[in-house]
Amino acid sequence: MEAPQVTVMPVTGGTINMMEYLLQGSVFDQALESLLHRLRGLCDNMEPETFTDHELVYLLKGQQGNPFILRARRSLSHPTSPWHLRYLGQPEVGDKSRHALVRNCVDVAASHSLPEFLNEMGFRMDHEFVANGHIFRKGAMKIVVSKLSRILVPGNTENTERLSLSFLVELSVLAPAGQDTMSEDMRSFAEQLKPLVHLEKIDPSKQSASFMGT
Amino acid sequence: MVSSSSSPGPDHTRPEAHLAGFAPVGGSSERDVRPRSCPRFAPGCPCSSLGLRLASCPPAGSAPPAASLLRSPPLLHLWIFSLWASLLFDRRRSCTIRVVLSVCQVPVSEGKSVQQTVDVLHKKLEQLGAVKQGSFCVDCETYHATGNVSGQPTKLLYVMHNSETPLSCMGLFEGGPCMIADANFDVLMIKLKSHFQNAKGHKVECRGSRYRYCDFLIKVGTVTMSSSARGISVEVEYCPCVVPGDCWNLTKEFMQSFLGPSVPELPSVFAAKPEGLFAPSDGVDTMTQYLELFNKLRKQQVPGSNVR
Repeated sequence: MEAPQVTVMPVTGGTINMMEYLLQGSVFDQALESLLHRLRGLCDNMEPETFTDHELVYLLKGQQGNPFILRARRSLSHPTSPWHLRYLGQPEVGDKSRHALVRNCVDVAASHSLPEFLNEMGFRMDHEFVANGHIFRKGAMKIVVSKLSRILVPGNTENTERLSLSFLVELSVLAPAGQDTMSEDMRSFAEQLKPLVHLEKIDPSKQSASFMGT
Repeated sequence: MVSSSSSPGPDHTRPEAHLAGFAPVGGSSERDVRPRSCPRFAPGCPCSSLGLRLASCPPAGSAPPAASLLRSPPLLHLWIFSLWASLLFDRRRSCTIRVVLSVCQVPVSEGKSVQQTVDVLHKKLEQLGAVKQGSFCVDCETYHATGNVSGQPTKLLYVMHNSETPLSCMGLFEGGPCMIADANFDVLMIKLKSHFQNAKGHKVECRGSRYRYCDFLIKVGTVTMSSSARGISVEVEYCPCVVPGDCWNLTKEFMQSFLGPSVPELPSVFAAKPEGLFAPSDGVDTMTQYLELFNKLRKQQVPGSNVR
């Protein structure tokens, strides 16, 4: 049995900051098949995957400032897979000509004790929802077409109610900070999806507060 | 954000999956199946053919009642095979038991330092026939929650790393829930610095050498805090077994061979479980023991020379 290398640990400030570049749009239910057909043609040659995920949004209220938000997501179609914990920072207010929304992103895979652990840390669940749909890839770009459903009874993912008559379409890329050429590539790809769907840079902080809240 | 799809694990509900990795041997009507990759169990023990060490196994040297096991009902075979398959294929469960000693009662002789005592242990292990296999490191950082209501005790979050699992880290609350996460959890804790402050002076590290002796892994480490040596830890791991109750006596006897009579009792983390000693052990139990050891050493005033 070979001994694994002892690495210098832990990670300190100065590690690679990953940024999420994001464009969003939506399509009505009746336009879904056309969009999926076009995505199958444009994206990497693989069977598109379907998914059903349960996402819980946790808040940690501090003594001052905005609460700290964490998103915990698990797969309902693969119940043994680890949980996915995600932190999304505030959108970067930089170059207004940048085509995509850019924000800091930290992704952590976690064991199934994540909800209890977050509660012990002081996080409280704000809202939860179920997302199901399709995922496509084109190189580093990920395209997710999902239907969001509200959970009627907390914790019961069987009993859900669709939030709208449309599908959310998200085009995203995870890249180290400073790679602004990504937003150009995303814009070019988004052009090819017009007029089926218009993908735009939508600032979440300008949205009305918690449209999925209680 | 969509959770990345992972290829699903083997379907344990399909009977043929239980026999994956096994090849039929012989022509008897009873299926005598042996694992393709033979586990390192004591030769002659009947459970070797089933890939599982049983508490009821006779001591080595006695005639193995293999025939009686083969004549046991088919359902028992299926249960044992499925247990073996789950141990083999379940990536989440480690097929090891780790028993971490508390600060061992190795008296630090007059004129001997912590390092010299560690060297003595190394020499004893090498005389026993153990082979050195690299080094190891276990560390623990402490975070204080800043938002506590006054009057309530400050909640402490411990984030630990183990070189045996270099891509993982573990978050623990003492006496509370724990979580295993990947290395990005450290980056997340940096983002949470306004809510959880890192007590940098409380960082504890245990570094040392790793030895292999047959089915045992032994790690002798020096526990340091703020660059000063606080004590010695010895971790003994019996690789083939996951159930503490089945191998504690064996492990204790082995520890006595190089630690002498100063071997502590079974760690409390095993006794504290609802199923007691017969619940399978995992990496969380190991790190909980290290955390107890580190907290004990933090409280010690005199570094290095105190016994338990």
